[in-house]
Amino acid sequence: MTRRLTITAALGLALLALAAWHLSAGAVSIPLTELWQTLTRGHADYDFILWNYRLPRLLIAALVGAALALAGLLVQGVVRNPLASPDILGVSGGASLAVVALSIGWRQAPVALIPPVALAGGFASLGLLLWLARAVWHRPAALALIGIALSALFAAAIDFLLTLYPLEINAALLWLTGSVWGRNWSHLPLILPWLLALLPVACYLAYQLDLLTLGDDTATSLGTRVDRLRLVALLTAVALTGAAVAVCGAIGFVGLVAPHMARFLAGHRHLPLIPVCLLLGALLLVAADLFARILMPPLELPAGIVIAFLGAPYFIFLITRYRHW
Amino acid sequence: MPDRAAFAVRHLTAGYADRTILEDLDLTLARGRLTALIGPNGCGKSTLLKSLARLIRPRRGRIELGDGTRLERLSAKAIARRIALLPQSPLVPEGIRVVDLVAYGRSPHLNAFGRLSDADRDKVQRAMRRVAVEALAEHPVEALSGGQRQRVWMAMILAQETEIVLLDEPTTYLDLAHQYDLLALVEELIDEGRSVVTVLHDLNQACRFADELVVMQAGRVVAQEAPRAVMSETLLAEVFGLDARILPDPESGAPLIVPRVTSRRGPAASLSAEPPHSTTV
Repeated sequence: MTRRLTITAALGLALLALAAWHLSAGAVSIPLTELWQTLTRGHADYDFILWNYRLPRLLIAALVGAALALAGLLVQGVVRNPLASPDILGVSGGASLAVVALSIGWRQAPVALIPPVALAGGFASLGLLLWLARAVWHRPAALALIGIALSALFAAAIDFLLTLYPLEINAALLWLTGSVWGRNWSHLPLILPWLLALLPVACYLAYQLDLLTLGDDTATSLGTRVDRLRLVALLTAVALTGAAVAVCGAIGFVGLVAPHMARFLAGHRHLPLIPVCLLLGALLLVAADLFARILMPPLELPAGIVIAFLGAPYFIFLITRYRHW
Repeated sequence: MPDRAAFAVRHLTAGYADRTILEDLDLTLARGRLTALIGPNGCGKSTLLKSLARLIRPRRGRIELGDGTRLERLSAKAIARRIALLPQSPLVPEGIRVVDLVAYGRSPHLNAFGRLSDADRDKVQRAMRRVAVEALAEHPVEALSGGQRQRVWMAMILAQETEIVLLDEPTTYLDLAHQYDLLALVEELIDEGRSVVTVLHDLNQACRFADELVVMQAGRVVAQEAPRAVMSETLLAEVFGLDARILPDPESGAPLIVPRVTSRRGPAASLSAEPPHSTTV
């Protein structure tokens, strides 16, 4: 109990420190000493860049990272497979495909249309997954494998469209790699309400997900409605992923790695895992966006690429330490 | 509806997506008794047990509890407060401690967040003491032997405090001494007034411990009576395809099944001169 509180507090402090670094670093460097003053009382030189660029970007990176991590925790809890994540279930792929199709089909499509289209794509791919897996619904591993096949299919469809329409697709391509670049206050309502609304749902499902780790039969005999739990948890995860993809594009790895790191640190009960997972997801994406900006200035890398560079080696390290396959 | 029943099964048709296993089954299971479901593989005994636990829903017909309540009228949680089930090979969550696993037995009595009261913790402790695993409370379940693990699962079911306990081949995977430990524990449950329905593979254990045998074949109940009344060489031949003799168990007087198999070593010379390492099936 105290161990978990310590870890949660430490992660919170780490996020604050990283956030300060994120706000101060960049093409125009805001000294840490001036940062607080700019935030509270304003500062002639830094006001504009802080309030219009860095702060919304920081918040969006943190919220998107948290949403993806929470979605990953739910999916791994339901599928009971450590390899499961929203990307692997084909949800991110479906959302991406929908947006690419939109930008080709309607070139003047308003940007505001991207989020709902991404969400619809995510839910449609979940529907497809559930329909394809209806006969093996009770075998979580089969669900994951069908999801992998769907992801591959969506990725191929996106590549196909990119090859066919190379000119129309530039904006979509940038969006696809996953980036927090150019995100501003207008993107905040696309992610914040989803996270606020779905976080209580995740907390409500947490204990039932604990029971599900005993297997479908035992969980049922303990009074859990397993099919309903699975459906609600997956829908929640898809909504979170869809919202995240809508804002930042497909950012892989956060949904896979953050829940693993969280379990590594805080054990296996879902309720106390949730805050740890949210903080880790936020940390990962804020760090990725920070490095994306400061590694090769003035060039900005997409955060999705940085996440993969940071995440993949760490994930391999984690897996080799992991005894519970 | 007889008052002394744990379950009344009426015209039950049940199975899986692609095949029907049980067809129009009628059965009453006694309250406060140990009932063993026996039969050859694929006879439907596991399907019946799963139907009783409402893991699978009847396609037709219904299952009632002793007080006449229909199972389908109860919520999943309400069922879990009255019926406990130990599946054949339950999953052990990674890294879980004994005490936490046993505490999951309290979950049907808890709110959505699974907060344990002092009374709940007390019941968890008592359940662990009952099956002598309280010394292991802080150990990870994965580190335990098969016998200890099965005791931990029994503790979880005890903590659930249900009037009915369903067991799916609880002795499989255990060595012989632990099998009998477990069956002795099941007898204690009966002495406390609970009803136990168990699938058992070992016919001699079923004869020795069960009050009543339900013999199943191809989705039908072919006999339901006390072991002494039901066991016969004809039944063994017809239902199990087994050529065997039935002797009184010298320890308890229950029917003891001794197969007449042709072994490499030939038949024993006589009953009185048993070979030194003979085993019974």
